[in-house]
This record gives sequence, structure tokens and C-alpha cells, in this order.
Amino acid sequence: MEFHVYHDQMVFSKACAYILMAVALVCAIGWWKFLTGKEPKKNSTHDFDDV
Amino acid sequence: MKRRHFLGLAGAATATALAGNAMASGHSFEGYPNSYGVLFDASRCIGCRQCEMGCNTINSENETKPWTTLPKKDPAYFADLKSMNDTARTDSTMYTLVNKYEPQALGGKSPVYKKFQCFHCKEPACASACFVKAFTKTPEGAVTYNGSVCVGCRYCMIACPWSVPAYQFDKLVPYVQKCHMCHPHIKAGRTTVPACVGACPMEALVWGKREDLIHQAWERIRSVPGTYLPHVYGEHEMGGTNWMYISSVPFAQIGLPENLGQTPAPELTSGALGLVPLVACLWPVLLGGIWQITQWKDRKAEEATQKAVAEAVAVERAKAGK
Amino acid sequence: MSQHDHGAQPVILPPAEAWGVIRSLLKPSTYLQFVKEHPILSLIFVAGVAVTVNRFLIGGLAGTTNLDNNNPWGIWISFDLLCGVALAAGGYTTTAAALIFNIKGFRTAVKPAILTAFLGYSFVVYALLYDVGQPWRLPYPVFWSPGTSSVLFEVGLCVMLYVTVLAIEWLPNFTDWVGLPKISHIIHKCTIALTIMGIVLSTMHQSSLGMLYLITPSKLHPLWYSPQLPLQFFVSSMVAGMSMVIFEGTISHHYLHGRMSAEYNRDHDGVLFMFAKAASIVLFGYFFMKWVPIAGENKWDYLFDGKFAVMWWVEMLGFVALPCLLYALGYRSRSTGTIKAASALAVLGIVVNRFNVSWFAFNIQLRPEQRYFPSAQEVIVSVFVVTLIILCFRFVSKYMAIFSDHPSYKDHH
Repeated sequence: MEFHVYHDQMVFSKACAYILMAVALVCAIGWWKFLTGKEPKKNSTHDFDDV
Repeated sequence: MKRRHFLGLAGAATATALAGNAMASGHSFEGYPNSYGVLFDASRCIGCRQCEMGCNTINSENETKPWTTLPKKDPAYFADLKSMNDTARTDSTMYTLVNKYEPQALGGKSPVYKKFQCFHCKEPACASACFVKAFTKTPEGAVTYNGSVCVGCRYCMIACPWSVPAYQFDKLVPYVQKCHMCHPHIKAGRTTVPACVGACPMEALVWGKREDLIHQAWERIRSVPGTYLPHVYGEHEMGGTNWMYISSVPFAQIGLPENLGQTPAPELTSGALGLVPLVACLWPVLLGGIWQITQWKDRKAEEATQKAVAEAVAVERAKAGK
Repeated sequence: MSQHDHGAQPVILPPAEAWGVIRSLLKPSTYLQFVKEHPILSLIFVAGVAVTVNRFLIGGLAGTTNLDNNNPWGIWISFDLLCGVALAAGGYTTTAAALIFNIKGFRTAVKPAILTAFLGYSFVVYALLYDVGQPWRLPYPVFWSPGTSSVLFEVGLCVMLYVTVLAIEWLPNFTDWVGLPKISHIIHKCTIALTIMGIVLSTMHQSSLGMLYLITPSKLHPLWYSPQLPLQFFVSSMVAGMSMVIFEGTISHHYLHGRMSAEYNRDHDGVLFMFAKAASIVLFGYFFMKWVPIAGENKWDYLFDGKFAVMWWVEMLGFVALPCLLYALGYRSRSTGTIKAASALAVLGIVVNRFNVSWFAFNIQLRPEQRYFPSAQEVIVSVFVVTLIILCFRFVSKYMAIFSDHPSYKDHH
């Protein structure tokens, strides 16, 4: 993609940045639920529940 | 220019790397090839105001949008050559005006005239500042304004180094008004050059491709040594403009500020704007981390007190049991 | 540590009566009563409405303001936008202290801070309706034609998102009051996420307001223009937030004492001392931060040159160094009086700084006769906006559980 004017590149790259931030936010919610979720219990002798 | 980038070094470097600032990666933006512009020669202008009249005529007699239409003015208005001064500026009823200066360089007695209008920057500050993309740098060279999206925030007026855009403060549905280098008129075939250029009797205004105009300007400067200042105003200012000036008196004395620097407007904000996505990514990490740590600490403190209480109770019970 | 431990649990009307209060807002008799009891506030209200009619239906911006083509931004930007946003920063500083850093004794300060922030930001948007030429087009930058290269776009997007976050964070006060506990419950589950989002958004737009002026190096005086403006605005917003919490808490204590629970009163002084200490630290750092661009960009000569130098020294010594010192003195001697004075000075200092950047030290290339001064109508609108904020704050605090826990609090915790 060739931009002749720096301003035009800025409009495009910043639009990408904002969309990326929105996507990151949505993914972050899913990732956080995964990180703090519990694995189905097998036979664990210790639970690191306090971490 | 280096002083301007004295942001925290890490911040600036990170921003440049991650914001995709092409300036750092070696790609430079030359602008559209074959874009047109105008060269104004301050030593040729006689202050006849024909350019003003030509501009008013073409923009009042043709059907265009509300924000590219001017109210028609009586020719007598432009025939008045006494009212020109060094402070008047454009308002929402005009796209250009001629100022009259009496520069120190000529002893303060001789008049020098300068035409003021949009400079049609290669990297327009108005376009960079506009949060609804109302301004466009056209391939032909003109910087045009699209009033159909304009909210009227007037940040373009703040951002423009020459304070070019004027606003219809008196209207209940106001628009910005600004010279458009007759872009809609040229596109519609009504004229081949901007009306002001066509109206000038002294060839103080010359139309051509930007590179050619710069070449012409330096030719003129070299051909009569000692007449012109060896500088083409707009060649590099704010990253370069399509409307340029040569003059035989210092530019600052004819109302052309010389403290603008050569950094194009978008570059003034791109570094800082590049940090915004970083905050969005890193702050949740930092804050989430701190929150987890404080939660964990509180829980540990709670457990420690519970343990201490249990131990104290056990000691008491043991004592009582004895 | 607290000087007073008193405060019975304030009366919160049950939901049926709450709806009665809301219905009374639709009755003219309520307003006639208000006019009788508060003649001055009513006068301000009437003046505000009159200017509003003039601004939108008769004279437009030209008939209402002293703005012109050389001075397109006036006090509706300098004060209502820049100061309004900075002084509403108490929302993110208090929620950070209470919920992220988990500092004990800050829990009761959260609800008043969120109310102040929510009202502050909402009325910034309201004031913008006056300033902007075509206010019905305000959704355009986000929903129609995003100008993503613009700092103002980022300000607008962030403020829009943050007002939404604040509205959600504030909503449980209303839903508890009118008897919709399920909604309160759902929102409470998202507290940490909302808080983090709020702090992220606040950081971005507080700094972006400083970023607005990066594009005007030739118009802003060198003692204030610097690529570090965004950082300066962000750091000073933390001071503004904490100082406003202290300042607003002091005023509320005077007028709304009957609405404050025992726990709130117990915590109140603790919050004061903690914020005083924090504000002193931040002001100390901010003071030296303001010297960095002077040194780095070799601007020493400007420090002794003319009236702008005087303005800079006054801002630095009277409104940064002095509150820093007063906060420290107040903290050392546990003197709430000194701390309250410091907070008033710090709040004023934020206003001085924002005014310097956007008005006094801006457009310095203009001749004296070209410079801007607000019209009476512009001042009326700004006063009107502040009055509306105070009236809304009073109404909400009078009826909802802002300075106390709602009876249903135990159900959430």
C-alpha cells in the first residue's frame, strides 16, 4: 500500500491501532476467564488455590 | 527539530518502532507527483486586489456547496485600496486577502503587499487535526474541505500555523471557509488556473507543478542577485507547502512567520499518539498485576492472623487444661 | 484518628417512595418550591436558559461569545473542557486506591468520587454542545467519519467510552434506590474490570488533552510547549483528582452531613491524610518534571524574560511548590485545615495551568488588541454548567446512598 502523504498513512495506521485495541479488549476478557478458571479436578494432592 | 523529539528517549523509540512511523524506517513521503501549486512574488504585487475580486466572483457565481460558496461582493469593495493594512485577516466571506506592509527593511515608508490564503501544505495540519476527516490533500495539490462531515470543533483553526481557516460564527448552521485553490472549479472545467492567478495583472502569481515552481523561484532569485532573499518560503516550512513566496524584504516583515520549523504537522503528534495503544496494552497488565498482588497479600495477612489467633487459643486451652 | 465518629445511618427511602421523588420532578410545584428556597441558584438557572436560547436559536456563536477567527477556542474549552476533565479525575484516582491498591479505609470514598466524576464528565459533554458549531453531529467522529490521525478523535473516543464506564459504575446507586437489585448485582461482579478500564481510559484522555497542543509549537509559549505536555497533563490530573476529592469532601461535609454514615465519617480523615501525602509526592515529582524540558531544550533564557516568565514562576511556586509544601506540612502535623487549604490551592493550580496552556500563553503571536476575553454570556454558561453539576450532586446525595452503604450492601458482600 503506497501512501504519498504521511497524513494518509497516519489515518490508516491509527485506524488499525484502534481496531487492534478493541480486539485485544475482547480477547482479554476471554483469556482472563481462561486463566482464572479451574481445570476439571483429576486427582490432585495439593491445590495451589491461594495463588 | 531534534529538540522537538526530546520525549523520554525510551518512549519515543518505542513509539516510533511500534507506531509504524515510516519516517524512522527510511521511507520518506514525497507527496503526490505532479501536484500543482502557486508561486507568489512579493516584489511584483502592487496591491490592486484583483485577485480578491476574481476569487469572490468565481466562488459566488457558481453553484457549489454551502462551504465553497461566498457571498457576492460589490466590485467597489475591491476598488478600495486605502483600507489594506497589516493586521486584517480572512473571514468567512473571503478565501483570500491582500495585506499591506511598510517593512523596516525599506525604512518603513514603502509599501509591500502580500496575498494571504491557504498555503495548501504537503502535510496539512488541518487534515491531521480534524477528527472527522473533513480535509483532504488532493493529488492535484489543493487541500480541500468537506463540510458535510464537519462538526464545528474548530481544532483545524487552532492547528493551522497560519490560522487560515475561517468560521461562520454568525450562522446557526456554521461551516469552515477556506481557499480550495479553485479545485472544484478546475475539476468542473470552469477555469484552468485558480481565479486569483488568472486575475493578477502583474504575474505576481504563477501556477505550475510544485517542483517547477521551486526551480523557477530559485532561477528568479539567482538571475537578479541581491534583489530577493535567498529563500523560497514554503519550500520547507512545516514540511513544505504548495503555495510559496519569494520576497525582497524579510518574510517576517510581510506577515509570514519564520519560526514555524520544518517538521510536518502530523509528525508533531505521531510520537505521542503512538503511545496510546501501548497504554491500552500495558496498563491492564500493571493494574491487574498490582490488584492480584494486593489480593494475595491480604489473603496471606488474613491467614497469618487466623493462624496467630488459633495458636493463641491453643496455648490458652493448654494452660487451662493443666 | 478521626475527629468525629458520629453519624447515624442516613435514611434511604424505600423504592416505592423513591419513584415518588422521581415523579415529583415532573410536577411544576416542585420547581416553584425550589425557586422560593433558592433564589440565587434559580436566577443562575434562568440566565443560563436565556443564553442557551440565544446560542442555539438566535445569535449563534457570534451573538453569544467573543470567539473569532484568530481565537476559535475560549473558556468553554479552557475551563469547561480542560479543567472539567482534569478536576473529574477523582474517579480514577480513588477507584485505583480503593480497588486496585486495596488501601483500607478508601472504600467509602469511592461512591462520592464516582458521582463527581460521572457528573463532571457528563457536563463536559453538555458544555461541548454549546461550543461546537453543529452539536447534533457530535456522534460523527466515532460513528460516521473517524479522523483517526487526530488527537481530538482519541479524546472524543476515550471520553465517550469513559462516560459509559462511569455511568455503569454509578448505576447501582440508582438501581439500589429504585429497587432493581439484580442489575446492581451484575454490575458489582464487573467492578475490577470496569475500574481497570476506567484507569486506562483516564490515562489516555488526560494525556491526550495535553497532546492537543503538540500541533501548535508556534502558538504556545516555549515555557509551556514541550513534547512532554501529555505527560505533564496526566501527572497533574492525578493531583487534580486527589485534591478535588479532598475539596469536594470538605464542602459536602458542610452541606450534606446528615447523609454521611458513621463509617464514612471514620474513614474521611484517613482518606484526607493519605491523599495529602500522595498529592505532595506527586506535586514534588511534577515540579521537577516541569524543569526537564527547560533544561533539555535549553530554554533558560525564557525564565527571566517578561510577563510570561512571571506567569511561569507564579504557576510553579504558588500553585505547584506551595501546595506541595502545604500538603506535606498538613500531613506531618495531621492538620486537616492545612490540607484543605492545600487542596483548594492545588485545584486552583490546575485551573491556572490549563488556562496558561490554552489561553494566557497561547496565541502569543497575536497583537494585544487581537487577544481574546470571554463575553458575559460565555461566563454565564460556564457558571450555569457548574451550578447544574452542584444541583445534580445535591439531588443524588440527598436521596441515594452516596455517603453511606445502601441497606442491600450486605447482599453483595
